[in-house]
Amino acid sequence: METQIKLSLAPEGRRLEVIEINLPEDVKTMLSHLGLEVGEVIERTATMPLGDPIALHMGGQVFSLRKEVCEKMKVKVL
Amino acid sequence: MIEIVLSGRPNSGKSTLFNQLATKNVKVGNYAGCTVEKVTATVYEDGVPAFEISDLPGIYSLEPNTLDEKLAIEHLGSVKGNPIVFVLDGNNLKQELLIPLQLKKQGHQIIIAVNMIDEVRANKKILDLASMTELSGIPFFPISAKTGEGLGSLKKFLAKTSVQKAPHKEDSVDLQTIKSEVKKLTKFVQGDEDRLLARDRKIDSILLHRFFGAPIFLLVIFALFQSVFSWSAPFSDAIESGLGLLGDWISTMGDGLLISFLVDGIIGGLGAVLVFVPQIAMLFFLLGLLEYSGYLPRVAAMVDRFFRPYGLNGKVFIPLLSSVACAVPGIMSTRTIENERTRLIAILISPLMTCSARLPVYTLLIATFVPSKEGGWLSTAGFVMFGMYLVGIIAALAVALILNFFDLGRPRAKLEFIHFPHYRSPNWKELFRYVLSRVNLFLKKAGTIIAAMAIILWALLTFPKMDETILESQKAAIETSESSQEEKEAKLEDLQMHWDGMQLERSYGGRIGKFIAPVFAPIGYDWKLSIGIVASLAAREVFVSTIGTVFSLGEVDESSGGLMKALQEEKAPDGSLAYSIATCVSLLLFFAFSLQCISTIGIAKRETNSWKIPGIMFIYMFALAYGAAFIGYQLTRVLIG
Repeated sequence: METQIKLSLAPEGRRLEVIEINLPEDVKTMLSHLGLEVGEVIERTATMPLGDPIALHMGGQVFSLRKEVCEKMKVKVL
Repeated sequence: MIEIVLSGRPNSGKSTLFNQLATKNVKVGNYAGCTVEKVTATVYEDGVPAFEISDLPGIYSLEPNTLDEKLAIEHLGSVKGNPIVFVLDGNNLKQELLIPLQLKKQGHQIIIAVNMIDEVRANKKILDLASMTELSGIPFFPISAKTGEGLGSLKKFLAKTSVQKAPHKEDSVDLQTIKSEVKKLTKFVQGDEDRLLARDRKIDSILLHRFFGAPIFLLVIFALFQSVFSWSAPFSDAIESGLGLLGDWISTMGDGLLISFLVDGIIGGLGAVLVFVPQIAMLFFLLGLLEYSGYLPRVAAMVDRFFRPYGLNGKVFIPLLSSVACAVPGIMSTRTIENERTRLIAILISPLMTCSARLPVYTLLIATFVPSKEGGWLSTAGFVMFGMYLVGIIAALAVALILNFFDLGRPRAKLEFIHFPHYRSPNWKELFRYVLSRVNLFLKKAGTIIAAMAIILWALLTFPKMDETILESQKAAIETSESSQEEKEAKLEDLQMHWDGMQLERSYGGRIGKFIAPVFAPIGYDWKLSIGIVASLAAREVFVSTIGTVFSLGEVDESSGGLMKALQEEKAPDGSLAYSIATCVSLLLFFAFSLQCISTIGIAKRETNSWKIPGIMFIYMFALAYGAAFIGYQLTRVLIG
């Protein structure tokens, strides 16, 4: 069975496939506009010195997302 | 002339393209009733006006999440049939193509400007734009807004296209269909490896490092503010000296009302505006440099965690830090905050940070009333001064925390995210243009308000004029007396200072000061301090010189021994000392929290496009100042006496 982990716990520098997003619909829509939706391949590129937020490469660009949002998403390491 | 609209995602280079195309009649305004900027201009082709162009706020989708996006999308809806130039980052076509294809389906006439084509080449990517044009029916233009590459053909095409509106044909918009169209189009992109991203990662691994990231960030910010202070100081000093010399020269022409108006009203008002220009230019130059380089958004992300408990995000850091120098550039730099609610809170709390104008007042009060004790390089004065900075920061965060409980009529951000653009070397031309536009805006909009308010305050402190025949007769009596020339000069100076003090006391401003003195009595101020408070509505530092005039001391500054002595020895009507350490605590707290700065009021009006916010700001800060001063005064009296 594939291991699913929270995006907030995913390792840096690895390709990740988004499996699940447990957020309100409007937030999900906003994320999809940034290129983050179920099935997309993303990558965690950096973590800020205070441990939060997390920088993610998605949709061809890099965005930082707060850890509380990343905790509501599940990914699998490819 | 038909309006051509520039649209695109944030950081796609839209504004750079706008600045390259629009060289004349650039108008910067606001969308009705809000702070979102609307920029329009006329574009000339072969010396004749070809079309109007407007630069819309960036959008991430056609479903708005911020006020900027809402206004941009509404504007797009209102110009159906007009050509829309959608600017894309050529390095990231997959995500960026969605919106222009959606707009085309909605019936818009779309032209795609594939920007940063020079970076695309450096990234070893090949874009087959001819095939994309053929497949989509949308003209694709490769451009580099930074270098000017491809702009000539785009401009010529736009001049031709802008002759008439296209017929509007609307199709049903199905996102999945559009996504599959994007997929087909991106097949014409060759080269998977993203070299720019790989380079960004290398730089990020140093600048965002878990241990080194924070010290590097502190070093950069420290250097930034040292530069703002030290590099702009000679220019500010030169402006101040220049205006001072001009005032002195005009004063030599006489001492009538017109001269007073020119020197104290016009030049004083002008000085209040111009003296900020070097600081504003320097701050925006350095901020622009950090922003264009790609580091500023990462700084915002680094401090985001710290500001979160107060309902803020990392983007408020720069405005708050800028406000330590001066709230005017601080409030102007809130423009980098997209969310209207967060921006409003940042504007409301910025003036609570300890700005440089408070320092003369703090210096005078601490030196006069705080017992001086030194131990090595530590001193009580230093502790109190540090405490005042801390008080400002704590108050700003506390107010933000309280405001976070209110609705404020602006929605909270549903999702906080920060886009990390590629690290880039700055486009100097664009950077200078950006600085010039900020300075221009400050001079045109805030400058007029600040100067007008300075003139009104001059009038309040000048009128009504006392009958100067009494002064002249007393002067004549001294001149004809048998004293030595030195004694005569000293007596004349004393007489003039005493007269100025009386004139100030009897002016409308002085009368207001006396009238409101009972209001300030519970916080320990008599009518003399109350006049100082009224006069310092113009600028906090005016308090020191006004108090000097009230005490008939002539021109004084915060280090004047005469003024300190006068304050320490001033007697109340019952013969006791009028001012004490309790008065000092009260004044320190009052100045820490009250909004005595017409420049800040002016810029808040300009940035929020209404008098409501500066009004609220003034009232809440006055209430906070009065309340804190009252508690501080009464408590100190009880505890120390």
